Amino acid sequence: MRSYPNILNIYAETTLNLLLKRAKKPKVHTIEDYLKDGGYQALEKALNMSPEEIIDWVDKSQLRGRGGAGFPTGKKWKFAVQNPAPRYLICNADESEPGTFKDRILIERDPHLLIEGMIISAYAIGANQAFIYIRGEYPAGYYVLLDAIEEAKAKGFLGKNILGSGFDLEIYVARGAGAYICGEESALIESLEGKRGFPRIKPPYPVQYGLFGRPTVVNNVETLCNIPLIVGMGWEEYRYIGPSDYPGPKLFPVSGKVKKPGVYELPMNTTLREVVYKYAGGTLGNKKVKAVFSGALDCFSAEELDTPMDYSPFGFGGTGTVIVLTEEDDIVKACLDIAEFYAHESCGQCTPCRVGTHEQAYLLKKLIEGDATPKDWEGLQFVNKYIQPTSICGLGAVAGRLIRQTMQKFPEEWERYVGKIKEVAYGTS
Amino acid sequence: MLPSELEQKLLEHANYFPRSEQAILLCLHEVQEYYGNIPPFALERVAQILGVPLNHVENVVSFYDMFDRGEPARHRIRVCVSVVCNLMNKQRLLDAIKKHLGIGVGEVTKDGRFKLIAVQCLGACSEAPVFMVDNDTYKFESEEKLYEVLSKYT
Repeated sequence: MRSYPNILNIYAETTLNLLLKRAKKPKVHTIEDYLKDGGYQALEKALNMSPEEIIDWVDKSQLRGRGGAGFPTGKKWKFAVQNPAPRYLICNADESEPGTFKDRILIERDPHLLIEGMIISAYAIGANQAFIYIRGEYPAGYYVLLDAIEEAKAKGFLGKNILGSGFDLEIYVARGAGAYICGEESALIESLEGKRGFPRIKPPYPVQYGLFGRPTVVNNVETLCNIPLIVGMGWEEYRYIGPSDYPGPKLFPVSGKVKKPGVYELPMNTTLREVVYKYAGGTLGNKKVKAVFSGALDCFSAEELDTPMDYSPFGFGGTGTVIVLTEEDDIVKACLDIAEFYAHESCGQCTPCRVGTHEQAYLLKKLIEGDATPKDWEGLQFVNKYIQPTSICGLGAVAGRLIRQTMQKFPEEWERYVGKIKEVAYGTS
Repeated sequence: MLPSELEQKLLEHANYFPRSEQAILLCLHEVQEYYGNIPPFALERVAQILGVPLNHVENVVSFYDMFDRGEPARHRIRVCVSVVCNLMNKQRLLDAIKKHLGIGVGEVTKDGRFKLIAVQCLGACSEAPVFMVDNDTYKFESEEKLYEVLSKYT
């Protein structure tokens, strides 16, 4: 076995012992570890079911995509199988949103859970070739996956005629190279075809026109890791995990100003307050929580700490990323980090996003540095709103969202900077 | 032709996927690991091996952030400057690197040993501030620990 690049010892804790049953321990679990724990038994069970039955189970399990959008996985699969073969399965392991590091520990510590999930999923949607697209900044995960695939092949779980079922599958691992946009499924497909990661205009969706123009299912790492659980215990039992509307385990990567940052596996009827105080140990120095950023997507204020960590319209949603800011932190300066992230990661294909994200970051920086004019402030608010409806893909659609929410929820924080504009404008400073 | 050791790896990548052109990013990672940046002459060979036009390779290289066509270095230090590392004071890390190696973001040490690059989220935010040296990921704990880590890369 090769020696892997340095892997960080990220803290992990679980109340459910499902997705993190093994991955809570910071080690690379081999196929022997996995088999000892009952691994690949769900695959054997699945291969004795019909693909339609598996899709039906996943649909009834109410599993939603864990990559951020929360789209029902069973529905996605049903759309895909309406279209003729050959079809492809892609695992989206391009986790790159600020604060998000949940898929990393599944890949680095328990690669066979993902691989088993992919084999079952590929069988269900009728794909004989599957791909894992892992971000370039996760080299250790890349090598762990290559080794795990070899192990699975040697045991007959991958390759031709898997466990005598007549089903064939190859899994290929592709590496990204530092482009957040490649986590957007159509950009990922372009990148996997060997091109620039430019999102496609949708529709058609990947389930209709995906890799090489064929029907393609793109699922997140954590989503695919749920599949062996659903098949193993049956959809009825899976539905009893957590709240009935949003069943199943969920991973929450928690970072920022908390005592015990790490990845937590919890049911989705947990509240944000429980995540921060009960599990992550409260804030550093017991400071007051000012805000929680859900990645670079949404901002929750201290008044909203009772938000449930589910996919309901008023739930926490997204990838489950929790970034905690306290009274010591400057919301507007944190917004500049978010603005610079989007400016840096805009792929440049469409003008509103290419120009708008840079304009947003530039004007925000000017405001923070006290150089902004009233026109700049007007421009910032305009561009912040304008990128959303005019961009091709989801990146542009959300590039102004968190910042806009902070303007509504923390007007006094913004006023500290906006106040300076007036002074300059009227020459009274 | 490129050095045979590199050539060998590129050919392996080209034969790995169902279609050879899918291997372009793997090949470019390999080139960068070998030379410490992406030299123009290597692009022509990558194009030949994958059976795609040179302008296609150019178009791809210029899109992806990890590919560096600037000054080469034997090792690259990637420091995360995203929101979480910033909340956890990544400036201490940048200052320590500046103090020890004398380089700021985008600069290369005089001996060509290290290049410092600022990057967006590295996905290990519970350990912030975080940095990578080549393929290894580290948490910044103290200046002493940082110097110890860097001394491993010659």
